[in-house]
Amino acid sequence: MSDKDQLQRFLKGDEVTIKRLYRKVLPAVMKFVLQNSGDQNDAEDVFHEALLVIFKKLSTEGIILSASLDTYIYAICRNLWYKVLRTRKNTFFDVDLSDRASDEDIIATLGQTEKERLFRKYFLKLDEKCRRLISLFVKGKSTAEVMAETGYSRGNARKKKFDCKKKLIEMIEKDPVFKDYTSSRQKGTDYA
Amino acid sequence: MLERSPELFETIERYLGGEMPAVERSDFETRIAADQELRQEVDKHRLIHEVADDTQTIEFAERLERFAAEVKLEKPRQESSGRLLYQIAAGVLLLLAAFATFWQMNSSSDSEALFTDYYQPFPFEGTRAADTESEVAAALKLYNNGDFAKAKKALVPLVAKFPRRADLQLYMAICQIQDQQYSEAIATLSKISDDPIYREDAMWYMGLSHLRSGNTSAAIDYLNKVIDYDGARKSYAQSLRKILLD
Repeated sequence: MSDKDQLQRFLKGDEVTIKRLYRKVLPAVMKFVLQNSGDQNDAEDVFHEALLVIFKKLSTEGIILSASLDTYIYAICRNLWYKVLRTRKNTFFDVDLSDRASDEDIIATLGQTEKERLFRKYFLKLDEKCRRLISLFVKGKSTAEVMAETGYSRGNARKKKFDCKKKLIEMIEKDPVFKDYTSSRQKGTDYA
Repeated sequence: MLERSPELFETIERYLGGEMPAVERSDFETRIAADQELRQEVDKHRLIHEVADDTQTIEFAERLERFAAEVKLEKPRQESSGRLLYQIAAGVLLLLAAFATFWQMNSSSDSEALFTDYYQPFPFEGTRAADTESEVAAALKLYNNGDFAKAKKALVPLVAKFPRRADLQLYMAICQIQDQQYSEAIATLSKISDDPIYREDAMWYMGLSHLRSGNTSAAIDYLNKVIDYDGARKSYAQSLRKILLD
């Protein structure tokens, strides 16, 4: 199977292709993160984010790999983890951004989606009902349609939506990456 | 400090959704311009809306979460079934040990036969977009077709030209093993023994190459490394080490 086939299968969410990545590449990422001040949850988060970064890039502009897909994912994970480390206080590490994959491409990819990644990461941490509720309102569904789809009463649907969004914003604001991001931008311009 | 309320959220949502009348919109934009906190709050809502509206990515993420949970369960399933599984495993190990003893007594070349039992060439992983129509693609095609002698010849200049491509080094080492050049294979594999992706494969094939060369203690050393790595080849390494130690 060529990398092109593999990317196509990945984009379609093919179970065999994706589970292979979890079995083969995640252990390598796990070792790297554990050896660099992280824990198992950090490694899983970073790996999950890397797969989403690739999915987004594939589904919007496409990717021409300069390394195998496994190596590309590993390199993205490494860069994502370095970004996390930079925001954690009292963490010292050597940044070696040389790799087989094109790191310039990877850094550009990460830069384009940094805010989006952060917000998506926490959006996905909400329970399914909250996610569904926010999505329905965002897509412009009327309160009656939201009530029909979720089973909430009118008042409950609006209250629950407020609670979900407030919780989401509070989770995002606690993230060190967000704090770092906002403080660096407040010096010049606004957050966005 | 900005106080979050349902009313504030709904005002922001009406603004972002383009549902405000012109006058109200203009007033709200004046407030946004004057109030940095409000401006930041609106931006947060805007980003939440963008993310929540991207159904395709959210569905993909949910699919990933499901697969991750299933893969995570694969290992505990083997470990968590308690005493019964432990007893079954012990029985299997006893049978294996008995088989190994019987086999050892009847084999004139233990290492060679064990090697044959455990060795399989590393599977071809596919070509990259950049390899298409290139000399690399031609070499890998030979490898994929099982023509290891020709693949080796084609790979010799390529591993020199692309020294950082661990996949090429691994294919090269397999060709050397196929050609019974075990010490050359070990030297090639040692170049990628720290590679994050191919490290386990490198240690496994180094162990097998030492085994085939009759160097059992070195083989066991590498099998131990594979076991410590705790990856996909761990169970094979454990079973082979058990036979060697018995």
